[in-house]
Amino acid sequence: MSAAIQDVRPYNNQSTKISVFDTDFNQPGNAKGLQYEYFYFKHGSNFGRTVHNDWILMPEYEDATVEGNISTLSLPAWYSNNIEKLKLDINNAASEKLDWYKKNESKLKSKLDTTANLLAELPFIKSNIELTQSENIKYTLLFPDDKLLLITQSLGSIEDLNDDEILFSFFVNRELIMSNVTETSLLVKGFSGYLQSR
Amino acid sequence: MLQKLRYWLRVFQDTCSRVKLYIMEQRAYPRCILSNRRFNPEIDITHLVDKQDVFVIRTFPPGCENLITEVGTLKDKAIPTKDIATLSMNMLGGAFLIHHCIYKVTGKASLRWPGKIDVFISDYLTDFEKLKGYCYFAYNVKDLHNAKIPFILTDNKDAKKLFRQLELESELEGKKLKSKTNGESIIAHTPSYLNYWHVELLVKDTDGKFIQRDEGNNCVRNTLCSHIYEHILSVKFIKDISKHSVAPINEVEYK
Repeated sequence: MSAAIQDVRPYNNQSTKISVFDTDFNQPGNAKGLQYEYFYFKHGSNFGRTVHNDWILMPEYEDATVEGNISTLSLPAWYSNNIEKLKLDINNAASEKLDWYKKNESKLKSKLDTTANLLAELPFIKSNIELTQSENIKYTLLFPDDKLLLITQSLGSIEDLNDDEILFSFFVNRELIMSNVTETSLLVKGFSGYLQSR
Repeated sequence: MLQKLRYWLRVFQDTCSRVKLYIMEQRAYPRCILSNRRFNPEIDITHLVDKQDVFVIRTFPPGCENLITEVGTLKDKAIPTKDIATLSMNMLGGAFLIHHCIYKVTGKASLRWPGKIDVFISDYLTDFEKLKGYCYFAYNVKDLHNAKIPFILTDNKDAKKLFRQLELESELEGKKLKSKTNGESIIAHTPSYLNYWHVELLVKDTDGKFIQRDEGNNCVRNTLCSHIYEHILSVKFIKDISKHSVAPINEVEYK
């Protein structure tokens, strides 16, 4: 089995999620096409800068040849502050709708934690999370220059939105620039690129 | 001749009832916003917004500042689910002015006016109330009418950059992005007996049917509805309409 690292991003405070492209599935004529797997690596003692030697490979991938030029992982400088802020927002949102939160705690917690860890990579200056009346999770992130990113994540209540999809709207000076449906990781990657491309 | 006499008799009775109501209960209702047989049963909003900016307002209980989040967006709880699907608002630019928000129309007076008949307040004396206070948020109809997903603002440098970074080229069908939903939203002119300037924000579901009143729960199961309520209404509200130029609606649009 051989594999190549495609994407590296924080998963939570203790681990890093590495998306690996499994080349075994990239055979001509293979209907499955590209196959991605995910590795979860524990962080070393130096949080935010994890070197390859500190990573623990999941047992089923021990024989994989991981290729790629990743020796050091650097989290953005704002990551720690942002994740703390988002966790505070999650607590506030949960306390506003405590009954519903408790009823759906495991599902909600998993979605909120995963999404917050992705969103914390973005350099927002203010944030807000709401558990909406329609049983969605709504994230609002304010960036400099009055750029506003709104994300709605469904817990299954929106019938025409897949489980791994989110609805986003992006405003500049309160003018709607773009609305679309995509995956959270793709949005974060693209939006980071957009902010850096200025 | 007899018909004209009957009409003026009704006007006289109506005036007497209104004077009595005002003297006895200190209540009055503005006649200027009543539906009128000379008016069109429905203004063509699509036609109107092609010609000018049109603003609508939604009335809230006093304390609108408490409905705004730290990020400057409207809180989700501002609009209860029971009001979603056919969200009531009032159109500015005609006879409806901001201070008319203080009148709440109820009962049979809030039913859809069918057109071609006169309305007398004396028939609806128990079907309206004067609120103790109110606040409002206004919206430009262009932001709510014909909203679709996906949406990309054309000829905008931020939109072009984000489009590139999100690698959306792969989702193009011709020059347009593949549709993610069949839904559609409109502002519909839905005059009631006591308020010709009443409008509703309506959303079509994925089957192309308008979601009906009291079907808020169906609306929130729809991506477009979530977009309208959780994103557009949350961001595009106008706190002070006096800072905007509200163009008068030309009489030819409604007479």
